[in-house]
Amino acid sequence: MKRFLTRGGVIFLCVTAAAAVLLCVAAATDSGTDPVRDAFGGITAPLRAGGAAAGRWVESIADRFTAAEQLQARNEALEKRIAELEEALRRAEADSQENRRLRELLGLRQQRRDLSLEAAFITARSGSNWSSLLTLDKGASCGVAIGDCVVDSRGALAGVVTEAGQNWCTVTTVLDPSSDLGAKVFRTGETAVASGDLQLMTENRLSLHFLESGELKIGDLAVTSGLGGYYPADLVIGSVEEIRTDDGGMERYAVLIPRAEIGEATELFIITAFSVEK
Amino acid sequence: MRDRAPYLRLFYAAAALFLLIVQDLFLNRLTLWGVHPLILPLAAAAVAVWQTRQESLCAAAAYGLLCDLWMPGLIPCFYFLSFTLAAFFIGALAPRRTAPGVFGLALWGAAALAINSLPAIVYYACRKEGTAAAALLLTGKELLLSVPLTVPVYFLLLPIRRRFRRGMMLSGVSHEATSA
Repeated sequence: MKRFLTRGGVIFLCVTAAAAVLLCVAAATDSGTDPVRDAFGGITAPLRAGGAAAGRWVESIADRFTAAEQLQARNEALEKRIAELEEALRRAEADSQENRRLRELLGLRQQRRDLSLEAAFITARSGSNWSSLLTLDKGASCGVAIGDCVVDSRGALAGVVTEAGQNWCTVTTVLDPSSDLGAKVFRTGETAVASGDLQLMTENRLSLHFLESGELKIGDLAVTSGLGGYYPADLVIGSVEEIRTDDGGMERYAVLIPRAEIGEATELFIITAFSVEK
Repeated sequence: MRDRAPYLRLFYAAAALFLLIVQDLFLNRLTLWGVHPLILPLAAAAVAVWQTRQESLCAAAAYGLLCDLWMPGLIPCFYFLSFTLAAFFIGALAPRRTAPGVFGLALWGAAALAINSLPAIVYYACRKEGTAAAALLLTGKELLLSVPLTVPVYFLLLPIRRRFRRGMMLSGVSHEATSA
């Protein structure tokens, strides 16, 4: 024990404990990102970016050895999907023209939605199995702020920024158990709440709690509602896979397949600003 | 008589940093049953059974703080508390006369992982009805995936322990548990 004291062991333990307490106090008192994590994140951000770049290079080499049959099957599925989307686009164009004519007849203004996007690479994924977090390589210096939505290349919602340092930010994905988003069913317009769930997170799914009176079908799209103006509206969250009843048998909820490929994505886009004109 | 303890801590710290990089760059990307394996709790368990209680507490506290800064948990000092708690219990329960081999270390590593998950299980059990079962299932999956990593952790840290134990015995400093 005396040797421990002389070798500064208890001093080291006290310093470590004080650092942990400081971390808690900073997180509790600061409404944004605490300075300790900001400093540590800023220092390690270049290391993470370098590591992530090396990881992407290794993955690109491994992808070259993917079986040709898998690629061919995926190609066929994508071609079929393209044909379906082209048909849907033709119908949508006709609907859009009719919409424009009707708006002119009624004297309504054209709806507009402008989004400012900041591209960012994923430099780290959640180290804990109890959460679903991503670290990106852009931060406050690029206009990123807490509460900004993050989408993938197809415009599907991946998550929301919950911490922002100078050159990094942490994104809580839609799968995280703490995630709660105001949503609506695209087909019917009815409001709902898209929430993460611990069990569903391990299955790469999330839940949608809706009104019992609402009609929900398999395949229905859930999008952000945009109510309150915190998030842009109509960002696709996911599609309904099945409808379940909770353990108490009192409430029904839907299981959503997230549209954003959170596990496979390497690059995401942060919506740093948006305006909606109706 | 040369004091080798600071060098021992330096090597353990370097090993922890290496394992953290392995966790961040490789293990976080390997997902099976919706979870990825954890390796740092196993390293903390190894230090807890091979070193004195005071040394293991210091190591666990440092490892936990590093994890809190690198990968945030449920609360700001989640890993600091869970690693220190695990080191305290393992240090109190592990036999001091015989240092465990790889299988013994795997058992203590499983204990460290279970203690590491305990705060999260309690948090989710109190938060929402029905999530306790999901939390226990996740813990089970984590244990199944992580415990096999005891083997590389054992062979990574064993040379450090042997090197400094031999040096300390030669210099007459009895610093850790004797092995059979």
